[in-house]
Amino acid sequence: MGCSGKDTTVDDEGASTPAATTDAAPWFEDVTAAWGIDAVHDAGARGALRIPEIMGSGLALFDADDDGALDLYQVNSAPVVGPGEPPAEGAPNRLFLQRDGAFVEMPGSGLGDRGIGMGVAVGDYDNDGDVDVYLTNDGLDRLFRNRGDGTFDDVTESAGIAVDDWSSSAAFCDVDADGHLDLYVVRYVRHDLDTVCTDTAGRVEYCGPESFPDAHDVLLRNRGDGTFEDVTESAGIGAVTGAGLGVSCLDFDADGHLDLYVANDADPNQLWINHGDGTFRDEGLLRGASVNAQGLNEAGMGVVAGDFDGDDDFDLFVTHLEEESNTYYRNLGGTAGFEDKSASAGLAASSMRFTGFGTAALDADLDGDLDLAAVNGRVKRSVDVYETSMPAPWDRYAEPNLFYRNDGDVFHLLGAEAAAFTAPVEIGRGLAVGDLDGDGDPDLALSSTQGPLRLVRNLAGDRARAAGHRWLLVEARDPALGDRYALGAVVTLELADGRRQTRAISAAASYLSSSDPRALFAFGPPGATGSLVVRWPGGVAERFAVDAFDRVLVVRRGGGSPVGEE
Amino acid sequence: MVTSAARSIVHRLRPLRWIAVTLVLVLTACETPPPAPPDPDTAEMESAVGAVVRRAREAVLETPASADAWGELGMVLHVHGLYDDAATVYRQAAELDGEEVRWPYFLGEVLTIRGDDPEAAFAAFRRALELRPDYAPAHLRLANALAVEDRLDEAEPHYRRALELAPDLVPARLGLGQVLLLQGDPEDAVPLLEAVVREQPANPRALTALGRAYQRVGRRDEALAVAERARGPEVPGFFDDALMSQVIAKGTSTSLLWDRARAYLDAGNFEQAAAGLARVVQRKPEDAEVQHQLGTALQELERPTEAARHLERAVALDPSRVDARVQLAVVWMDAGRGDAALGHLQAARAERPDDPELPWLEARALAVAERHAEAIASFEAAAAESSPPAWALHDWGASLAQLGRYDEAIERFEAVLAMQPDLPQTLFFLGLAYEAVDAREDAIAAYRRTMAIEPNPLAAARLTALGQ
Repeated sequence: MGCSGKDTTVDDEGASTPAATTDAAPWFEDVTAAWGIDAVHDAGARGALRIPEIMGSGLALFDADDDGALDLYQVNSAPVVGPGEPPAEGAPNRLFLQRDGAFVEMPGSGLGDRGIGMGVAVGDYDNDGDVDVYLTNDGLDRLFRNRGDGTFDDVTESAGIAVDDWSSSAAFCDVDADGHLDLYVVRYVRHDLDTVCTDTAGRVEYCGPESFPDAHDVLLRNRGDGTFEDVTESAGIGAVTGAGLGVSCLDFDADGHLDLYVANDADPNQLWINHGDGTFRDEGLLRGASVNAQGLNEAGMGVVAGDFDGDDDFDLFVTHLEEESNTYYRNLGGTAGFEDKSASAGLAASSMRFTGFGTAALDADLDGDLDLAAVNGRVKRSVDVYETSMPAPWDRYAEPNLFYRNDGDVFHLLGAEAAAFTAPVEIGRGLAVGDLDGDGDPDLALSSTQGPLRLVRNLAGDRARAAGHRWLLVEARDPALGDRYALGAVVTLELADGRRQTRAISAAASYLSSSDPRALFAFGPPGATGSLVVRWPGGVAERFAVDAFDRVLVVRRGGGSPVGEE
Repeated sequence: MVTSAARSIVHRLRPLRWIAVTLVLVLTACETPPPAPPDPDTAEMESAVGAVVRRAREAVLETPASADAWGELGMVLHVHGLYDDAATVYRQAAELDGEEVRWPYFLGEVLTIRGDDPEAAFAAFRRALELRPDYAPAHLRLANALAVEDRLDEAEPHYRRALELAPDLVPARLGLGQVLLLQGDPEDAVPLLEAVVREQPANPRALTALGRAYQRVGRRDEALAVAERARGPEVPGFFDDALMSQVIAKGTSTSLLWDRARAYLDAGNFEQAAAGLARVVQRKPEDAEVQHQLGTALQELERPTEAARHLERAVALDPSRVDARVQLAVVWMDAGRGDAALGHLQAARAERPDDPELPWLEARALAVAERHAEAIASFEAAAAESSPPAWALHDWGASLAQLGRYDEAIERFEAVLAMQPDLPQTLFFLGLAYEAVDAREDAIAAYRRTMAIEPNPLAAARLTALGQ
C-alpha cells in the first residue's frame, strides 16, 4: 500500500536557469584570458544607488589600427558626484589592439576618457579611410578622430559637438545620403541625485526612468568639413521624447532612405521614418513597432535588426525588463509595418524572468539563418540569487544570458551547449559581435556592470565548416568616400540553387555597443556559386559575381553591374 | 463488569480494532508533515511590510492546515512583489481548500506576471472559472494571458464571455478589439475600439489599436490623428475586480499606498484617496508631492481647513510648487481670506509669469479681500493680456457694483450670461444692479430667471419687494 505523492515541503525553488534544448557539443568557449583580456568594468558605484551605475557601459569591436583584425574598446563608468561631495575618479576607457591572436592594451590611444561612460559608436565620419569613435557619457559626449594608426584625437569641440546630459547609444548613419556619416545620439533621462526610490516591498533601490523627465534624442548632421550641426528640431526628432537606450539605423520600409529605430525604456519605441528631405516622423505606433501586441509600452533596452525570417527585410528584436518578454517585431514588408510575433517565435515565455540588455543577431552555426543572443542583468535586486562570482550586493542583480538557435520559424533556447556564453552569471549590459579570430564565424564580446569583459569564441561555426558549410564575409565599401564601409547598405546573397540571404552593413545595435559592420553569409552544403546584390545607401543597386566562398570579399561601389541594366 | 455477550462482541471487534490501528498508522505515515512556508528576507524591507509578512507567516506556522492563513500570506507576498513565494503559498492554499476560488485565481495572476510558465497560469485561471464560471474578471485575465501567448482563438471567447457578464468592462472590449485586429479583422475591431476610446479618450493602448485598425481599413488621416493622441502616459489598467481588490488592500509599503491613493484620485474616489494619502503623509511628512496630493483630495472633499494645512506644508517644503500655491489660494478665497490668497498668487506669478489664469485669480483675491478699486484695476490689467473667463467677469462686475459703477457691472454680468446663460448667482447680481439703476422690469426679469433655475429666497424677497 503506497502513499499518494504529496510533497512534504513547500517548494522553495530559488532561481532557476531557463529550460532549454540540449545538444552535447559546445557552441562557444570563453577565451577572455587566453586572448589576453583582464578588464573589470568600473560602475562608479560608491554606495548611493545612483542610476547610471546600474545602467552599465558598452563596448565596441572595430579595426582601430586598420590591420584587418578586430580590436576591442571597453567603456567604463565613473562615480556620479553631487554638489558638495568630494571629487572621485573612475577607471578610464580602454582600447585593446589585436596582435598575433591576442589583445594588448594601448594606453596612449587617446580613447581613455574618464567620464561617466555609457556607449560607443564607430564610423569613418571624415571619410579618410579609418574609423573614428563617438563616446556617449552621462555628461559631455566625445568625438575621437582616428589618426590612422589606432591613436585618436579628441575633436569634440572643433567638430562643434556639444551633446550634454545623459546619452546612451549612438549610431553613425548617413541619413541625408550626402556621403557623410551623420550621428544619431540616443538620450535617456535627466536624472537628479535627490530622488530616492523604493521597490514594492519598500526596499531602497535604483530608480527607474519613470522617476525622471525623459529627454529627446539628438541628430547631428555631418557638414562634410569635419563639423556637425544639430538638426534635431528641423528634422522633427525633437518632437517626441523618450527614455532612449538602444538604436538601429537601417532602411526598414525599403524606400531607399535610412530610418532609425530607438528602443525606449518604459516609453513607446520610436520608428523614425526618413522622408528623404531632411525630416522624419515617428510612425512606430501606427506601424506596430512601438508597443507589444497588447499595446503596452515595455522597457526597451537593447535592439538588433536582422532578417530573422528570411524574407529580405529587417525585423527587430528588443530586450526588456523582467516580467516583460523580449519582443520580436516581424517586418511585414514595405509600409505594412511590423507585428509582434514574440510568443509564436518562441521568444516570449523564455525571457520573462530576465532583464535583457545587449543583444546580437548572428549566424553562429553557419546554417544560413540568424540566431539570437541576449545578455541579462537585473536593475532591481532579486530575492533569489543565482550562483555567481559577483560579490554582494551585485550578486543580486546578476543573471545568466540567453542564446537562441533559429530553426526557421521558431527559436529554440540553447542550454548547456551554449554555457560559455550563458552561464557566466553577471550583470550583462553590452554585447558586440564580430569574427574576432578571422575564421569565418561570428564571435562575441560582452560587458557587464562591475563585471569582467568577456570574449567568447564560436565553436559551432568550426563544426559547421568542418561539415561543409560555406561562408562569405562581405565588406561593402565606397571608394568615393575614403573607401569607408557603406554603413546602411543592404547586401543580398543569391545562390545559384535559389537560396538567398539578406544582411546589412551595420555597426550600431545592441545596447551601448558597436559591432563589426561586415555582412556574414553562410549556408550548408552543397557548395554553390552565386552573386551579391548590394543596395547602396540612397537606393542604387549593383550586382557582384561570387565565384569563391570561405573568404572575406570586398565589394566596392561602382565595381558591380547596375541591377537595373542587367 | 463486562458481560459474556459483551466480551464476545469485544473479541469479535479485536481484529477490526487492529485493522483500524493499522490503517491509522498507515495513514499517519502517509500524512505529510506541515510544510514550511517560504521565509523571505524581510531585513531590507520597509518595516511595515516586514512586519505584515512576518505576521502572516507566523499565522501559517500556528495553523498550518488553514487555507485562509496560507492564502493571507500569499496575498501579502503577492502585493509586495514576492511573486514566486506567493505562487508557492497559493498552491498550498488551493491544496488545503480546493473549493475556494481566490487561490487559483490569484495563482493564475502571479504566474501570469512571472510569465515563464503560461500553461500553469492558464490552468489556474481555468480552475478558478470552474469554481466561479460567471466571474467576468477571471475570463478577462485568462483572455489576456492567452493573448500574450498569441493564442488569439482561445482568448477571443473569454473576452466575449467577460463582456456578456459585464458589458461595462472596458479592458475586455479593448482586448477583444485588439484580438480581432491581430486576427486580421480590422473592420470588426474598429467599432469596439472606437467605443473604448469614447469611454477612455486618453487610453494610449486603445488609441494605438484604433490607429492601427484605421490604417488597415484605409482611413489613413484618422489613423495619424489617433496615433498622435496615443503618445500620452499609460492609463492604469484598473477594473472592478472584487477578488483582486482583496490582494491590493494588503499593500502596506509606502510606494503601494502612494500608487493606490493616486489611482483613487484619478478615479475621483477622494474619500479613499485621502485615507490612503494620510497614511503616506505619516510616513513621508517631508514629501511636498504627498502633502500636495492630500491637500487636493481634501479640497475635493470640501474640507478646506485640512486641505489648507497640507497645501501650506507642500508649499513650505517646495516653494516652487505653483499648482499647490494656486490651490491654496483658491481654498483661502473660498474661505473669504483674499489677503491670504494674494501672497500665494503673487508668488505663483513670479514662478509662472506667462500663465494667463493667474492675473485673473489675483484680481479675484483682491475682490474677496474687499479691495475693490485694486481688484478692478487688476481685472482691467488682466483683460489687456487675455480674455476673461466667466467667473472673472462675474467677480469684476461684483466689484464694480460694490463701488456703485452699476452700468459697467451690468455690462460684465450680461457678458457672463452670454457665455453661460444659466448662472443663478450672476442673474441675481444682475437683478440687483438693474434695481440700482431703476431698471425695474429688467430686474424683475433677472430675478425670475434666477428663480426658474434655482429657487432662491433672496431673489424671491426682491420679487416681493418689487410687487411681484
